[in-house]
Parts: sequence; structure tokens; C-alpha cells
Amino acid sequence: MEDLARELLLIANGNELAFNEFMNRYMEGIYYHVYGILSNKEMTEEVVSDVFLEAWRNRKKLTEIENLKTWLNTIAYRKAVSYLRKEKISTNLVPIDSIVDFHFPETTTPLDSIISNEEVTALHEAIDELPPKCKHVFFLAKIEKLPYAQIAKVLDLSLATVNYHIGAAMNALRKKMSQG
Amino acid sequence: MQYNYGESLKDLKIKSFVEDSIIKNNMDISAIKQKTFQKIHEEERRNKRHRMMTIVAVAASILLMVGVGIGIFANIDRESNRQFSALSWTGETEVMQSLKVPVGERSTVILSDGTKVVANSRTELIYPKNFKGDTREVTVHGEAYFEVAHDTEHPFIVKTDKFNVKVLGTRFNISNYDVSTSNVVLVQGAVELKTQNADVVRMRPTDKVDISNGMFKSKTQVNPEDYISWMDGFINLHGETIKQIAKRLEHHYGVEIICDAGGNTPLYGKLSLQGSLDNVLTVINTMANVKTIKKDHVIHLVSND
Repeated sequence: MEDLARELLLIANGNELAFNEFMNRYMEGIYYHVYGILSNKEMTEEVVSDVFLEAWRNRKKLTEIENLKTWLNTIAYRKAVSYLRKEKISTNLVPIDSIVDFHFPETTTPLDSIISNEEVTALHEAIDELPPKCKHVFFLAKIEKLPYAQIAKVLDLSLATVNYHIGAAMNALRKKMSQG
Repeated sequence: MQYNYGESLKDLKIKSFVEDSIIKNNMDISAIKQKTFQKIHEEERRNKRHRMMTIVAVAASILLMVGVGIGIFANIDRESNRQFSALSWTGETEVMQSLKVPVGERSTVILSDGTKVVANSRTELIYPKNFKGDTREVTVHGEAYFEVAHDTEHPFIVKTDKFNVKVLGTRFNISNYDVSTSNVVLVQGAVELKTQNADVVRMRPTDKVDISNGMFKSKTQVNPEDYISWMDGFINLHGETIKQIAKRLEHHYGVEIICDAGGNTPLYGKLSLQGSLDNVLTVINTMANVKTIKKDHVIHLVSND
């Protein structure tokens, strides 16, 4: 954590190397969060670079931000949704009020893990069948590893709703494992 | 995390899946970082140029001075309040701003690309909040001096009702208060002027092009400073007649002036436009031996004798 504090001070002074490290630190989670919403590589790269541009613009204030992961994910979520909305309007598709689907990234587990590749694939199938919002919440909880209260902030949901979605996702995983 | 797992093998497997999963990563992290730095540098360049142009502009208004004045008198409405309003034009993603300069005042605007525009009394200027697209386009009714930020990839176009001026990076003055006697004076650089009936004129520094009702009339060499001195609040007189000066005062103050006497008297020197119209008329009265009578909102210059 001390590394991060020093990094943020350097960034506040306009140090690009430190900002490069900062991007490495948060890139994966932010990228797959945005990709989950947009399902398109080029669009995701555009939005993610905008998210970090926003962070750079606010570089003097980064040290005051309570939870950077929450803050970045909130920006990422808003930018991705507004990008999607613009895209839909410009391609004359029916405007949407929220995310149509959430694309959960493919994952793998370490070789020595007690879970087999087949089982991982089966669990992914279970996740794919979840409602979009549920997948979205599950992604932030399990991949981004955000505390539930922070997820509620990012997605502007109540804590009870977040708990409900996590419960639904875990039940679906259990059910899948029982079948296998 | 907050979820309670059971002790069964099934639960342990789920726990392992949830907690040990690694994303099969196929993102291009260096491409994204490069893109981010590109955006950062672009923004910083723009901000820097913005600051630079402001400094250069101040120095230049004293030294170099390229002026193009466009005045379209007929189209200026009598609105005397300075108004900044955002109009959203259909089919355009650019948010348009409009500036109306109050009678007797001047306004300076720095556009999003760093271009500086000084607009004279009663001038209306319409410009986008942020330039997007291949060209940078603004519209002028009245008189304005431009110091265009250099950007070869995005030509700067000043539009008026009867002609357009296309530039890359230069200084010029446009006057189009009156469509029948509009002119463009180039201080520095190069511009291309295209009139409504497709006359194309290339201009060099110190060129003055007169346009009448969308038609090219003449190209002459002038001292550009005489055409941009309004920015400093005065006009240089080199023997212009009272009639000609009255025309300028009409544009500047939005009034009608009729010369019943002394209309052909030449005047020399500097005429200050800083004060009210009455102050200016008092000066003219003394210089030309006339007096002013106001009748039905029209100002008459009559013989003093």
C-alpha cells in the first residue's frame, strides 16, 4: 500500500512512469468490466483509455479518493453505458435503458486446483445463463473482488440487491455442480 | 469474502473457482496505455497552445496585426445585450455558442483550437464550443479580427452570408456589417476567399479585398493597421470623407447618420471610439465645422453657419 501512496504522489506531480504503473495495477479489472458491457475489443479500448484519461485529469485529487477501485469502476461503468447508448442511437437501433447483456470473461484455475477444467467450463455455462445484472454484480464481486458495499456504490444498487444477486449466482453454481 | 461456504467437496470446488480464477487474458494492455498517453499528450498540447496563443495574441495585436473585418450590417439585429447562448443544431454533434457584442464594446474570444477572435461593436459570432470534424467553421456578422491557430489538417473557415474565407493559420480582419461594402484585410499568412458567386481570390499580407453583394470588387494594398486599429479603440483617418466616416459610425453604434452638409470634408488623425456616440460627434463637429441635430432617431450633420 505504501507503494501506491508514493505512486499517487508522483502522479499528482505529473510523473508518467508512475501513471504507467497505476494503469498496470487497475487495467485488467477495468478492461473486463468495460468489455463485459460492450463485448467489443475496439470499443473497450476506446472507453478504457478514456477512463484513465479521466484519472489523469484528476491526478491531483487521487490521494483524496477513498477507494480507487470503486472510483475507477464507477467511471468505467458510466462511460461504457453512455458509449453504448450513443452507439445504439447512431446506428439507429432501439435505444436501450440499460445493459442488454453482460459478457463474463473466460477464466481458468491453477493446475493444482481441486476443480477440473470440465467443471470450470460447466460453471461458466451456469454463469452465462444468469440475468445480466446478476452476472455484472458477480463479476465485480469475484473478479474485481470489490466488497459488496462498494459494488452497491458502483452500480447504484441497494446492498440488499447486491446480496440477492450474489446469492442467486452462488445457487446457480451449486446447482450446476450437483448435476455434474 | 462475505459468502459462507460449506465443508463439502462441492463447496470447496466452487470456492476454488470463485477465488482462484484467473482471467484468460487476451487484452492488449500496451495498446490501451499507448492510446491513453496519446490522449493525455494531445490534451496537454492543446492546453499549452491555448496559453501560448493568448500571449502571442497580446503581443501581436501591437506589432504584427493582420486584420480581416467582415461586417454585414444589414443582418445585425438591434440586440444590444451580450449574449452567450448554446444552440444545439440538428444533425451536428458540435454544440454551438453565439456571442453578440453590445453597442460600443469589443469582445475577445479564444476558441477551442486556440484561435483568437476580437469582435467589434454589434458583431455576432457563432462558433462551436469544441471543433469537431475536418474543418473549423465559424460565422460572423459585423466585424472581427482573427488570429487563427495553425493546423493544416483542419482548415479554418470564416463564413458570412455572401462569402467565405478559408485559412490555415494567419491573422486577418473581416468587415461585413454591410453586404454591399464588405472587406477582408490580411495581416499575415495566406487566405483564400470565395464569394457567393464563386469568385476565388488568394490573398497575401497587406492585401485588402472588397466584396459587394457576394461579388469580388477589387484588391488593393493597404496598411493593415488602419483596419485593425478599432481593437485599440480608435480609427486612423487619412483623408477619409465625413460621409465615409459616418458609415463606420453607423455600423459601430447602430444608428443612422445623414450628412446634409460637409459630407465631402476630408479628415486626418485618430478618431477615438472609446466614448459614447455623442463624444465622437462632438469631435467631428469641431473638425468639420458642422453641428448635429437628432430627428426621429436619425442624426443629421448640418452646416454650422
